Amino acid sequence: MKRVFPSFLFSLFVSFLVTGAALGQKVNYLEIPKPFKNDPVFKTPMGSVKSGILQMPFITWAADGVTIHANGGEKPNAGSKLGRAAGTPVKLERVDEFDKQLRAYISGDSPFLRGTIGMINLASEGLTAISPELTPVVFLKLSWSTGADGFVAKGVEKLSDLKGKTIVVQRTGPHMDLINVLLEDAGLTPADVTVKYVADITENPDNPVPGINDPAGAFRADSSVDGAAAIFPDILTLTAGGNVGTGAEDSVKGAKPILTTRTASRVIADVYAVRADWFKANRDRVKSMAKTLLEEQKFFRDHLDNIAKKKSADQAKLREFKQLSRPLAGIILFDEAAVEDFVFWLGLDSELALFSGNDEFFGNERSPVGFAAANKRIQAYYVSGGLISSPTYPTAASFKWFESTSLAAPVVALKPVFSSAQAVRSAAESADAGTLFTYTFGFPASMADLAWRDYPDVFNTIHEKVTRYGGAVVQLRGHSDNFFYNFVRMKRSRGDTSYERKVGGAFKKFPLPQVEELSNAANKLSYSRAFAVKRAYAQYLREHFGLSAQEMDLSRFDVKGMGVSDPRHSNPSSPQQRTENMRGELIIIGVESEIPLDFGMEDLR
Amino acid sequence: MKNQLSSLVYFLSAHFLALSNSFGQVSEFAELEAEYASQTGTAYTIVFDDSGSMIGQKIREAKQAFAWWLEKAGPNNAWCFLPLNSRYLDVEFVKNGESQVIRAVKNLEAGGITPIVDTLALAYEKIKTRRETVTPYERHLVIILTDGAETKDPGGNSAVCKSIVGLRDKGIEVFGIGFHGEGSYLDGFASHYVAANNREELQRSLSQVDAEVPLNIEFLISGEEKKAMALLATMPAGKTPQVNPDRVSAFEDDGETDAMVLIFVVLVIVAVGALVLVSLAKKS
Repeated sequence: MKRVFPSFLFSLFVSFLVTGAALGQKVNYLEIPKPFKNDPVFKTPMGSVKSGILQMPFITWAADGVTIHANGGEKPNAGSKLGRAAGTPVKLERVDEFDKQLRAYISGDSPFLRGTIGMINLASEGLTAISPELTPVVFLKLSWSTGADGFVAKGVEKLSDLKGKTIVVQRTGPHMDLINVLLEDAGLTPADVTVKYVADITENPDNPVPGINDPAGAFRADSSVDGAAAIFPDILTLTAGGNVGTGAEDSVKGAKPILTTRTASRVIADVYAVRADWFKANRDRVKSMAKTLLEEQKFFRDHLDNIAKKKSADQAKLREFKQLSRPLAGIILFDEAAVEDFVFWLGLDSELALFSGNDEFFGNERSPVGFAAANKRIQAYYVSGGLISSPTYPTAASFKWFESTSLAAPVVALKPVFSSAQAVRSAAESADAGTLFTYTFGFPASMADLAWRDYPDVFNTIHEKVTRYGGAVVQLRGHSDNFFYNFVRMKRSRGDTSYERKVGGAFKKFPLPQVEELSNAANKLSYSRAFAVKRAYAQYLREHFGLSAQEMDLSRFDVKGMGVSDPRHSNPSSPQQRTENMRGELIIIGVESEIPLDFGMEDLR
Repeated sequence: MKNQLSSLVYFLSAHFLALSNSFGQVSEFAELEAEYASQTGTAYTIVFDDSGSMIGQKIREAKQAFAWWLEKAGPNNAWCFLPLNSRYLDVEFVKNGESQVIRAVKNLEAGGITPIVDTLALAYEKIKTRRETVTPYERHLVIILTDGAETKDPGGNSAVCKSIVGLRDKGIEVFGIGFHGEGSYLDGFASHYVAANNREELQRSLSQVDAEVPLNIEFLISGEEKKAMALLATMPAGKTPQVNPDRVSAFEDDGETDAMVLIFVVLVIVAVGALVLVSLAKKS
């Protein structure tokens, strides 16, 4: 597994890819056994964790730079913060291949796994089958991916178009679960698509196997592939800079970015797990290490917050941060000069979890994107695809960070993604806005009341999607039926001032309303229906989760009354059709290019 | 006159009470409800005749009664006040701005001409701005209180009627309220015309209609009417077929229609040009 960031390696990757394509290399597709527990990696002989210097894997991911900083570098350093916390020197080793990590974990070379929550879940069954002592105990969440990963496809306008398509993804990598989420939200099952696997997440010069080993390369070289899960620079290349690929300059003709984690900002959680046996014997050490790493995250977060102040940022602090980030850029991006790329990745394309994020992830069992819910969702999907034979969950260390007096519980400050309601509306109406999820509520005639308790499962699902797509706009569109409006328009156009309707078995005459009266009433009714969905969601959050109004972030909600302008049936001629027109829709809209960033490259210079 | 104004006050107050009930939904989410309230409600534009014909007892009675009515008005409505002459007393749209309208009415003095057309044009500008910058979901009502005829626009009362039709085409309800038997030329052009002393009619006309009717209600619709409705369904929502050629909007459209017409004309010219060229080519 290798997760590499933006512009720095961009040209390097392109040159590799150009070379690969030019030589017409074949794509090395890999198989993944079903269930995954039958993979040869699980035949590794189990051993006890070796004493002495503690081996700890890291991967090519910006948040791992924080870990490296806490250790004073990759080499064992007994005097470093991490070394002191572990009670022994820690040797950090880049291990982007998850299989290699698993072998070291099983053999006892290292008690740790460094992956995403999806990867840990994938391996959990195989590890537990060897021994319950190997069951992964997830003890630290490092970050969310908030822009570094995504999915690109050709011939696909919306996610449900993926049915029957062939997609390529890194084997046992972080994108396997991203694909799961996309398919699930599109209402598809694993059987609806053909998934092909490759070894690397992006072009990897260290891979000794000649040929193409990454999703982007496979997408270019294999015309039978319709889409690929890829990292940000590859997405840009494949889609000619985030637009539509032309087939030139390593783009794939017709390829478009479908979604990245900038929108699906609560899908890929990067975590550390530890062997159950080692955790049992070293609980305090593990907790101390986690605490140290989270304190280090807080230090980095403070620096990132300073950059987000833009022109009013403390320039001396900014220089200091860039200075300390240089060696980390050298390790993570192989180039100390790429310090700005590193900071951009750390602060924008990922989101450090901090103490509060860990508390929420592990402690809030009702969170739709928390540890418990993520395990359940991931395992269910892997079971349905045959990768897991029966749900086998990793466990959590469940450290309580805010019980002691040494750590004050943070004041939860909700930070809206968009600056204003106008910004939300304009993002929803931007050219690249794309629907990710829709749910429609029906209303009786002239009514605009909605109670979440009448739809508990629906609101659970809505909450999950709204949370998962943390960078998306949630548009609520209300609609009024246009039957009476059409009827009055027709009558008025014929000069009528009255109409007849049946009362008590006989037709009686009534004064005909004016068209503008109906239009005003329809506008208000439609807005009221849209707003009823927002109100019901707020009530759900309060009554189901106990959130106060101040603890809710409804800033991504855009309420829109459509009046009679967008009926399902333009000339409704039956009660059924009229009923279908009386509706309120909740639409989650991906607005990738419209999501404002906390800072830009100019703020780092 | 006194009776007429009293009845006006009575029925408008009843109307406000009815409206305010619909916003009385209890909620623990004050901020959410404030957001809802800010987007909905009724926006009143009062076009008040302060022309010379109102001098004396008539305007004193009208002011007193109008102020009393405003004080009784329910919450969550926006107010705009536009006298025909005293521009310095204009009140721009203010949510719950009754007190400002009351102050303006109190200071109103009769005198001058009756420029209804100009004032309606001004009213439209203010409504347009409010829809674009505040909310498009308010019910817009323009209430014209007048005891006389247009005296500025050369088109006279016909121009007033044309302006009213234009407002209605923009989804604005127009209520003409005549005094002392005058202003009746508005009848048939305003959404509703009411003589101020006709209590029942006033009450009926001010109540808000429902956009939808229950599904079990059966309408009497002929086969021909059904066909007409099907045709209407293909027209853009919000566009109303014209009843007769006189009902021409006095206000500019939003440009969409003009643009479509322009495109159509260009296409016709291109097509005709192409045909001419083809025929010339054949001849040569």
